Amino acid sequence: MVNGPEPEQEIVFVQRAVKGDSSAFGVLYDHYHPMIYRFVMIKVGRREEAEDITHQVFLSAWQKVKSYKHQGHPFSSWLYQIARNQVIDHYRARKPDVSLEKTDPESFAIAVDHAADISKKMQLEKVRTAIALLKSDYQDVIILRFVEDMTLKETAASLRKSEGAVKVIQHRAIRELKKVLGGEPSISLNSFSISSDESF
Amino acid sequence: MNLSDLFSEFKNLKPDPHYTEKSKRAILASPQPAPRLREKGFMIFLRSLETGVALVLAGFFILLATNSLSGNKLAPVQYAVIDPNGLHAEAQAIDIQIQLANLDYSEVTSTASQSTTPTAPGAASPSFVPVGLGGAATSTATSSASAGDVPPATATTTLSVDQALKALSE
Repeated sequence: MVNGPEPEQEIVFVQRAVKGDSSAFGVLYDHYHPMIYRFVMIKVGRREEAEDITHQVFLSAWQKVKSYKHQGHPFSSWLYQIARNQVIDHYRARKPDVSLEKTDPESFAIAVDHAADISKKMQLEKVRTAIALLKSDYQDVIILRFVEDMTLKETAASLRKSEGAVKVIQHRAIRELKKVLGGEPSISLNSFSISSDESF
Repeated sequence: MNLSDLFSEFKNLKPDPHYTEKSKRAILASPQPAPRLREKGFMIFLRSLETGVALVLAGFFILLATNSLSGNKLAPVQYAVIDPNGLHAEAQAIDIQIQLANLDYSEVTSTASQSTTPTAPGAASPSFVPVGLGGAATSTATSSASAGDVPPATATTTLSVDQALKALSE
C-alpha cells in the first residue's frame, strides 16, 4: 500500500505545482522520489545510473508540470510514465549487458544492511537481474505489485491499464520469472504465491 | 530464501540522502520553460476549435433528439398557416375559371364545326361538350339558327368531371 498524502491533498499539491509553486512540487518530490528511485534502480541495477535517471525524471516532471492535466489517474502514474521513458532512453543509449552468470557481488547497488551476508546480496542481485530480463510490462507489474505492495487497482491506475490486464500481465510475469530463476537452488519459488484477490 | 521475502528486501533500496537533497535543490532551482508564443496561439486555436466542434455536435444531437421524440417521423410537415381545405377549394376555383374560359371557346368551335362539317368525327365527340360548374358538367349544344335549312337541334348531356376528362384524353 502506498502511504502519503490523501488523493484530495495530492490534487491540491499538484494544482499548486502546476501553477509553479516549487514548495508544492517539493512535497510531491519527497513523497514519490523513493518509489521512482526503486523502480528505476531495479530496472537498471546501478546506483549512479539510477540516481541520474531519477534526477532526470523529476527534472522533466518539474519542467513539464505546467502542461499536466489531471485525468483521474494518480500523479504517480505520470511520474512512472516519465521514468519508463527515461529508462528506455537510457537503454537506447547503452545496450544492457545482464546475465545471471555475470553477476558480480562487488558491483551490487542494492543497499542491504551492512551485516547482511554476501549470499543474501547475491540472491537479491540475481532476482533483480531476473526481473531486468523480463519484458518492460512484466517488470513494471512485478515492481509495483510485490516491491511497492500496491493493490491491483493502484497498479492498474499507475500503469493506466485495466485490472484484468494487470492480472494477466502479473500471471505471465510470475511464470516468466520462475522460468528465469528455475535454475537457482538458493531461491525458493514454491512458497511464492499470490494473494487471494489476484488468484487465477 | 523465499522469493516474496526477497521482493520485500527491495524496499530497503533507498537513495542516498545527500544525493536526494542535492537533486531536489537543483530541480527546484531550475527555471520552468515558459510556453512559446506560437505554441500558445496554437493551443488557443485548438481549444476554440474543440469548443466549436463540441457546440455544433451538441446542437446536432439536440435537433436529432427532438425530432425523434416528436413522433411525426414520416408525416408531412404541417404548418399552422397552411389550411389544406382552403387550398383545395382555391384549386377547385382555379379549375373552374379555366373551364369557363374553355367553355366559350368550345361553344364557338363546336358551332363552327357543326355548320361546316357535320359528319366530322370530332363533331359528335364529347370533347366539344362544354363543361359546366361543380362536380357534373351540363352542356348544351345548340346548332346555330343562322344555318337556316338545318332545323334547330338541342342536345343536353350531363357528364361528370372525370367523364369529361376521360373523353378529352381519348
